[in-house]
Amino acid sequence: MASRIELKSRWCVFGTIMGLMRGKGARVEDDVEVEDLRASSLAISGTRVAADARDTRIAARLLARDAHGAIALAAHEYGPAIGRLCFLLLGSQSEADEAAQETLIAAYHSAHAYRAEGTARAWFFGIARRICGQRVSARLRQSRRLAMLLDDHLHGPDASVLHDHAERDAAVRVALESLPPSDRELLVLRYDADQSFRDIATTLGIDEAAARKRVGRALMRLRQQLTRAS
Amino acid sequence: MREACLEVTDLVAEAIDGVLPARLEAHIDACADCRELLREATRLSDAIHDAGDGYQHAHDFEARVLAALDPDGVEPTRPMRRRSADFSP
Repeated sequence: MASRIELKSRWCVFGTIMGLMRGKGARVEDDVEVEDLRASSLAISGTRVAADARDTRIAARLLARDAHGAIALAAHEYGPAIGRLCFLLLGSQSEADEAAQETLIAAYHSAHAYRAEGTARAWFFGIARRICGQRVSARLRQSRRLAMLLDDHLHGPDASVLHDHAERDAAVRVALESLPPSDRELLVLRYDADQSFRDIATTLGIDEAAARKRVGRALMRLRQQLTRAS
Repeated sequence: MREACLEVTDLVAEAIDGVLPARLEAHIDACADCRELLREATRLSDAIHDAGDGYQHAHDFEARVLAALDPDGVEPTRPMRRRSADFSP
């Protein structure tokens, strides 16, 4: 178990990064700020406990083979998050809407195969990831056919307007789309869907350390894409 | 780029979570490039989350999902038959 000093040291490193994000460029070594961060962490822990309870209820219904009850609950609890995930993987509102619905229907028909490996949330996200992957593959085949007929060029948004929030979001979505699908999945699962590295590792069938490393590398490739675009 | 800088690049996901190994802390303090890298990476991780804000969840999503499930309310006992993934004409 980490000692109090080690924990404080970790909080200070975290504080440094948060300080850098705020543009202060100075270390946060003040005890008050450390306590604030600790309080924020407790609040996050409370939210996670509630999320875990919801996940447990859905998992219990899946294991009891109450597919209808599990999907009804999952549609309520995870529907918006699955939609967001699909939106970021597909880049289209209408496709995301369809893919999210398709995810829950596919989960209903696969409920008998649920084995409680990882969280229920991760299981639903894994299905969404596969459905989006199929859609991206189909779209690629279609765009190759179109490319034979059209000589069209896609342009990313002008990097000079990245200060604008909406433009920045659009630029990030374009950059995400330009990444290999595996990189895009890793980044969206981690930083939008807030999946733990353990859940990501389970979903992808790799170990946790590899998941961390791959997410880091994918993030660096996204940074390169955005730098290139500017 | 120094070896420690490469190590920070490799551990950027841990750094964003605030669990950077202690051995790299001193390096971060001393290296402006790595501090800048971590600052950008942290902002980028937030930006990925923000990029999903454009999604608008349909108000009737749950109703549509439930309507699409087996209308007889019979629990599925085997996987749905796979549709052909063949897109060839």
